[in-house]
Amino acid sequence: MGLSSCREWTGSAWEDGNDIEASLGSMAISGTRDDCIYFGGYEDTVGVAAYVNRTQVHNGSSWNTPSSDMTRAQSGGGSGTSSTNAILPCGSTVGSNDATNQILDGTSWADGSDVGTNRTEYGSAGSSTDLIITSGVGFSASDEINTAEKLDGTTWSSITAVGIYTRYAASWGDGADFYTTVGGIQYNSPYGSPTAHVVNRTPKHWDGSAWSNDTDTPTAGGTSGGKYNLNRNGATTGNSGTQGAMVCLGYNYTAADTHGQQTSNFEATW
Amino acid sequence: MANEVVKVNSIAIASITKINGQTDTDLAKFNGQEFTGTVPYDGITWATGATDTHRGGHGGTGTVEAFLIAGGYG
Repeated sequence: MGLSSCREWTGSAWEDGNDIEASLGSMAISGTRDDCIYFGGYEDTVGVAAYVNRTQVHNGSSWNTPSSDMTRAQSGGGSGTSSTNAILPCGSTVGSNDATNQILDGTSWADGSDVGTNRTEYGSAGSSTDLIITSGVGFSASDEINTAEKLDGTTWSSITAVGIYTRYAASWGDGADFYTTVGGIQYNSPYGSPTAHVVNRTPKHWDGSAWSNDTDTPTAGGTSGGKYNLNRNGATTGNSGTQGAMVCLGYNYTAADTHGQQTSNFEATW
Repeated sequence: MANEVVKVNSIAIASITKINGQTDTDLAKFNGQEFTGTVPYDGITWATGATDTHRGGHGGTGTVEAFLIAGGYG
């Protein structure tokens, strides 16, 4: 079942926020804690199980319905800088998939150009004009992929493959010359046998020209240190190192088909 | 530009590579003024925050001082 609850981190404690209007997951959120928008996702509640085009804006104290929802129901990733700048690059939709990105630039959503490799459950960070997407599940491959693409505002182009085949990662950055993706899982065999799942512990960082390994995530919450099904975004675009980013909850994976529910949260600064 | 430093101890800024042995990349500020140059990325430093009730597949955004998560699956 999906959740409608919202939690807010004050820098030292978690507090209850107001609920969103539906029980859904896999949505993207763009902006800051007190000026953000969630968009898309998969609604999962009694009598409803479907991709949705829902959006709601958070003003720091409540969730409100904006003047327009997305043009199509979609889920897969997404990013942005505020409640009025967001992008959902591609992903799953009702009964199928869609490679057309949807862009919020102001108050209305509009279609942009198609991504090169249509995928879902990918990492993404940036804005409607500078965005990077990584890995995820490729619809053509029907499996995790390791490629990366960059949007320069109008055109998608391939950049060096990130090198990890994974889904359900967290990510942050400016979408141009700063991007980090953390965690995620490569399922391999169903139930992890005969080929075990692989859960990433080592983040990958893009500096505008090449990928490098970053500092491993802490082991707290799982002996392997790897984590997946994390928050879709870790931070807004352009965050400075001292503002940092967060990797929240999700799952760890310690042995064949042994998945632990994480209650840990981790702060990343740089 | 007003208040822009063009010399230090009569030496042109462009001719200075270090101050007291520190390069530009080692210094975040000088006399309270930030350098316009970029500080090289030095990788993530991780810290563990307070625990919370488990969820996965949620949305999230913000900073280490002000973050928000919503939705997901319990």
